[in-house]
Amino acid sequence: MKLIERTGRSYLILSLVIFVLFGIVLYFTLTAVMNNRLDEKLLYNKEVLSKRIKYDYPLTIFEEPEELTTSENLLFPNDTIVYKDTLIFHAIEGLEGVENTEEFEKYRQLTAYETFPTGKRYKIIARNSLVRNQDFVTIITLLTIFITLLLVAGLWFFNTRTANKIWKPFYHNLNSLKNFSIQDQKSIELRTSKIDEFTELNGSIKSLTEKLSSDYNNLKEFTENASHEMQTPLAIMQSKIELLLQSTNLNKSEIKQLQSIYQAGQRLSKLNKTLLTLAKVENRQFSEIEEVNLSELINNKIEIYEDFIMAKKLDIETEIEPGVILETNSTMTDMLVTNLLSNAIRHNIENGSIFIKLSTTHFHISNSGNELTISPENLFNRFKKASSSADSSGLGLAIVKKICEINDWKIDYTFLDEQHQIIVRF
Amino acid sequence: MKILIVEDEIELIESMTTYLQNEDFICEKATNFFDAEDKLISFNYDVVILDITLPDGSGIDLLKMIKEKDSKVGVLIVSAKDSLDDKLEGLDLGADDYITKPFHLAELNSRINSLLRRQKFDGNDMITFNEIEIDPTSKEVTINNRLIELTKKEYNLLLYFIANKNKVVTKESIAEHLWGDEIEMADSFDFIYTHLGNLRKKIKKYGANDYVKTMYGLGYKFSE
Repeated sequence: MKLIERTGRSYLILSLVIFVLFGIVLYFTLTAVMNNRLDEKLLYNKEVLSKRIKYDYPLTIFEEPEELTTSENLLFPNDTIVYKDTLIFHAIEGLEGVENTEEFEKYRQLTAYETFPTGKRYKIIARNSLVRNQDFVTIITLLTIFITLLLVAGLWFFNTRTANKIWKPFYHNLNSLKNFSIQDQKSIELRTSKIDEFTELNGSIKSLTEKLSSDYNNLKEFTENASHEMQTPLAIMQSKIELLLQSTNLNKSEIKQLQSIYQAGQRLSKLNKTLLTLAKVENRQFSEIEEVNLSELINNKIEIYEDFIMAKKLDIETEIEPGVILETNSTMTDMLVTNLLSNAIRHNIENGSIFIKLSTTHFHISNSGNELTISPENLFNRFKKASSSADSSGLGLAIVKKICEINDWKIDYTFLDEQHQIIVRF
Repeated sequence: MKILIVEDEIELIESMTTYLQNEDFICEKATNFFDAEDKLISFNYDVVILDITLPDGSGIDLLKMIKEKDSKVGVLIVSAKDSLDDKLEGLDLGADDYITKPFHLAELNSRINSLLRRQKFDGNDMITFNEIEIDPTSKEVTINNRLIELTKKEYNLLLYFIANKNKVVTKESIAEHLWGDEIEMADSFDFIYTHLGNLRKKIKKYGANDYVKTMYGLGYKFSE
């Protein structure tokens, strides 16, 4: 929910509650005031009637007054006056062509019990229709609702309009923040606003991104320099051992030791290269996008690895859909295929099998092998390797995973039917 | 053949010089930009081995200078940076090859050899080792004047051995030469045995001597 909506909604709810409360209070106050007036009028009418009875003025009486029942007589002592609202049934005979109407009408009623000097006791009822009062209340209620709606709509309209104007730079800046990439080497473009909070926020974002960029560049420079500084001593080491190996007067044990040093050096330089590659992938330095023919790439890789597959007597089965083209970076895709294929060969068993399937939606590679000694969740982490063999850097799958993340591909590992299965979904 | 090695690490120059000197190469060295510039102006070289990062300048500028003076000079860039951009820039500016540190001396030697062949004789030079004759243009190999059928890998292996004749060539360097350095299988060299075994068999079959000697599981030596 947007902030505008959230605050707008609270305003709306608040104004609705206030107006409803106001309406209720208004209704009761008005009714009370009007009842009061009516009661006075009824009382006056009753007094007029009483006086007429007292001084024996002739009364226009339609019916002879009834005797009061004893219970009523007992219940209401002399001079009791009771006010109440009552419904009275009206049956109005329609004129010609008009239907009869039957309805209950609301009345305000005064009931008084009075004993007159003649000794006679009367029950006097005075009524006044409330229909007009009710109309009045209805009109007031409708007016209130109308004003409420008008106010709410007006508030909503103006609130949204001003808010949109105020928040426009904010959303623009939010968008440029979302699109901000540290590799672009471009400083972030922010729209200025007259609102103090936003100006302050812009300042903070600006300094934060500048700091990020400079830190990133420093780190990148460091990685590059560190690897450069390491490559040269490694080159010296390697070349010196290679020269030493040319010497003819070495004995067997000396050669063995030299070989160990040489192989350790080889491992170190491979590791250094792989670390550098991982850093490059993580820093997203492979950002050039082009059309990559994955079918061709995989077939080429299989050809390159033919010797390795044959050396282990592996049975390779492929289902490669021709012409699968992805819009991605070719170097990264190459790394992905190389790593997965070489893993499938390296972690295979003698006379084992490899199955490769490629379609436009996924790349599936499975190979026979022993079950993992580490948990599958750790498989894609750096330096987590199932085998301690020297030829495995423990970085291959970390690179693969990073490449998948960058390309928004999904990668899954399962061990099924004695097969290591890796599926990359594009 | 005169080679100029431009490299700021004196120890690395020493290694290269020692390895290359046994061939028909005369190596000279320059450890900085100034020195290299001076030598390049005063003398003519067949090949320049060029490090990109020098303490007092960029190898790229030297490369431009070399190519302006004589475009026939072969230039092999040696760089610690394994960056595609650098590689492309170097090759665009006329460098003939690019090799990343750390490298095998045998690989360096083989690259210089093929560079020299391409440059001097437009590739039409025959490589001869006793009764073995190789035509690098047609990639045909004859032994005692009889044509021998070799696979691509066997051919490359033979060429690599002859370029590094009388030297111990490690298995690691052979693997990298044949399959590229993206192959991370330093411990399993079974497949080298296969190709080497086939090569030896074929050569023997055509009446040549078996020149390949195994050096304690460490590598091989191709010699008389």
